[in-house]
Amino acid sequence: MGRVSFFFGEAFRSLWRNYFMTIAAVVTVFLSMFLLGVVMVFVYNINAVLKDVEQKVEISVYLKDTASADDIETMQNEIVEMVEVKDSQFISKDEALKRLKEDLKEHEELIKDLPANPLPASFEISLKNPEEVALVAQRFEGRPIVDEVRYGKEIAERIFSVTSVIRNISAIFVVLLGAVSILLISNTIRLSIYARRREVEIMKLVGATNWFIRWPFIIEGLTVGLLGAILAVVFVLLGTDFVMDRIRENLVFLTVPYDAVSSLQTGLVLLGVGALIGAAGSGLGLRRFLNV
Amino acid sequence: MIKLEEVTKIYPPDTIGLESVSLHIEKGEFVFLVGASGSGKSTFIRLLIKELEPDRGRIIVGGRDLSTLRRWKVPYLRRNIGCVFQDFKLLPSKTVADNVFYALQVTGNASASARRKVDEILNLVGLGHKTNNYPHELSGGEQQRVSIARAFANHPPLLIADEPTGNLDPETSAGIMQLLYRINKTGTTVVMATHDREMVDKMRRRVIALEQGQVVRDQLRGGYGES
Ligand SMILES: Nc1ncnc2c1ncn2[C@@H]1O[C@H](COP(=O)(O)OP(=O)(O)OP(=O)(O)O)[C@@H](O)[C@H]1O
Ligand SMILES: [Mg+2]
Repeated sequence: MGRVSFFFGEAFRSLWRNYFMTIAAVVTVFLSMFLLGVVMVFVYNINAVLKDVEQKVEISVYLKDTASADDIETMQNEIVEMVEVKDSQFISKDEALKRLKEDLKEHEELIKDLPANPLPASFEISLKNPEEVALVAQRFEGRPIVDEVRYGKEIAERIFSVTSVIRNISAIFVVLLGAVSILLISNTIRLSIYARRREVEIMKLVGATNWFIRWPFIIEGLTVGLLGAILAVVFVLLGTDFVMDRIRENLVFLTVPYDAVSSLQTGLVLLGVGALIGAAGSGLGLRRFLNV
Repeated sequence: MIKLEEVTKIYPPDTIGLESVSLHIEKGEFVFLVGASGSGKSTFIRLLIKELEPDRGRIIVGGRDLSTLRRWKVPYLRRNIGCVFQDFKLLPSKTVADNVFYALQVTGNASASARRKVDEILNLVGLGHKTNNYPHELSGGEQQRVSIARAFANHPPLLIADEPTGNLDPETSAGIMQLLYRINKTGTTVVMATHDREMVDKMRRRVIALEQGQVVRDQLRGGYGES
């Protein structure tokens, strides 16, 4: 029997023997890693939505149905001449309807029986520099063929201020949670080591080196951390899948960016942090009892 | 084998454990350490395995000066010293065989021949039929024999025992003494702290008597009391 398999055997025997303690520790890790995972998914989505909004700082100029083709062409030329404009596009009433139909592919019944096309024609203008949005938007307001000028800046700014608060709070939350998990787990493991302090003392008397004593405990902590993290990963991923499906079903207009890459990232981070917390917890817990 | 020079140990703040003890124990000797409760016997033994540090003086065990022995080398010192205690100090979650095997494993010897050696030693102490029992399933005398088997598993040059018969009835004690005697016969130096007057008087070995931390008598073929 090799040294490594002896260490693993010791660790698993002890986990099995103290199964109540093991379950308690695994549940602790699970809870903290689950919370961490939820916060991670939340922050990830907020960031993605934010980025989306950030890029959507463009101006929509809605035209009255009375606007003539000439008026529209004059305006188009004017827009193209503006130095601030990066790109612009005219969207006719028909095109607007077609787009809406595409967006609502799965909910066609919503617009099937429209008596007439209610959508206005519009110019969509994106700028080289999003900060000039207000300035450019002003030029179109109050013109006879313009019905309404909409641009995302005000909305975006309001979202920015709210989400940056949420982002900061989440970051603090994640850090706090991480610290709490480490404390909880190192405490759990310290308890289990405390219960076996006499064994540790005996091992030292028989001539075991510190590392010979340490390894089984570290493997124990690692196993507890990994088990808890695996559970957390499963629940977080299942949970996000479920929640995202609901969101996609009910909030058709919201683009939700959650995808496989971020699930993988979340999973790996949770597993890594869980394992680290377990190993660090037992390492910390052992320190006091090895100074015999 | 063991050399003490003016060794003093004081427990803070001012309890005397040992006071200016100088002595010399040769290889192969069998030594009884006697004295009233609190006279310093356990202190002496714990100093030998560097479980305690002396406040003054020098301790040399097996040619090694313990005061200059680095902390990480202490386990290697202890593998050369078999220890037997009044409370056996067996690992409760390991079987009899695994308890003895552990002493071999810590030295990196976990081979099949080490396993056979464990069985041999357990047969030697008369526990060949209880190898797979757990310590709590054994009587005190049996547990002490396991702990002696463990102490002897590495064939250490030195075996120290702190009241190994303290919890046992006279007959069982005689069996334990018999074991230690036979181990001594193989060349292992044995130092044993004890209160067992009858045993010491019968064996007629070297007796070192302590009183309030000081050596008050050191007699080659002594008895428990004055002679
Ligand atoms: N850890 C300790 N802290 C403080 N004082 C201690 C400690 N251990 C022992 N002492 C004191 O040191 C003195 C010697 O104790 P020691 O244990 O060496 O005696 P002993 O001869 O083994 O006694 P016994 O026969 O009862 O086992 C006693 O006065 C005891 O109270
Ligand atoms: Mg004592």
